[in-house]
Amino acid sequence: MSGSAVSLKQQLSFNFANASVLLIDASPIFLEVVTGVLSGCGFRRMFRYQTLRAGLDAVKTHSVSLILLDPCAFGDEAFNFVQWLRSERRGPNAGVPVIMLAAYTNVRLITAARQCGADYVIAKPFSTQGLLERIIFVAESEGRRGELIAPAEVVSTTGSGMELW
Amino acid sequence: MAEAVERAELHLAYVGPKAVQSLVDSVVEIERLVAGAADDPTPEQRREIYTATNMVAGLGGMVGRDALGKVAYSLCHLLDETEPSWDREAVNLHLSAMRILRQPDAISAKATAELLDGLVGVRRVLARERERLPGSAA
Repeated sequence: MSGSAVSLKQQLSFNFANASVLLIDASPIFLEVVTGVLSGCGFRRMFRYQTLRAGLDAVKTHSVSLILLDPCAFGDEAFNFVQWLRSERRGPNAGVPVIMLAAYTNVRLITAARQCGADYVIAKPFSTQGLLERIIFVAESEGRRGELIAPAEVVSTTGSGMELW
Repeated sequence: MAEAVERAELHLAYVGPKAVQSLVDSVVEIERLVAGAADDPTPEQRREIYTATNMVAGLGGMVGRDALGKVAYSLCHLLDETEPSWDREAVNLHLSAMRILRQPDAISAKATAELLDGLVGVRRVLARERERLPGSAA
């Protein structure tokens, strides 16, 4: 990426206040940590669950903008969950970006994540900047540009770009 | 983006002490799970140990306990490589390292690096032993 592109990227402002995130992680403390990170990035609406069953119920009843899922504790069920999500073509969340967060990432996990339809795998531990960059990356992908990224013409150049839209 | 990252890190610092305590508790939990497992652990026991270890591996580096996280990562690697069996001595060695690293700055940076290298060495030796077993691909 060229220097000017990096600079442009850094100047972009984002508004995640209206985006809703579904977090599924068996570890309550990790849910808390990720919630803290996402809150700092401007996310306000978060559904947090420790089980896939609860996450499944959430996607059946809510429209979400992003799913962050740690498959580690759930085995194949985590990949089946994403596959089911993608197969529900008429469902409100069929095309939602799915980022998998996993500490131990072997080839098997990466392959399964790709095959089930997840957008990205992020290795834990991750930096806050790394997570934010990946969220923006998946938001820009798959024709979803504009859902999570504020158009330049409506972004204030003063104050926090995260909050002003 | 810089402002967002700064704010996110403030949030992270806020939950940091609780997260560190959770790491310490998880190490105790892993010890309990390993002690309770037979020499041939059930898939369910392996999964519980792996899940708890994975949590330490993921969280350690986010709350300033990088070395503890790396040892946990090495244990995840070991469990993965030796599945469906396991090597109890190697697992116990990892647990000893985690016990030491529960305390911040318990050992010097040099000793920590040597400890981590040693665990990698143990995994290499075990991998070579597996390759020599009859029926292995090598």
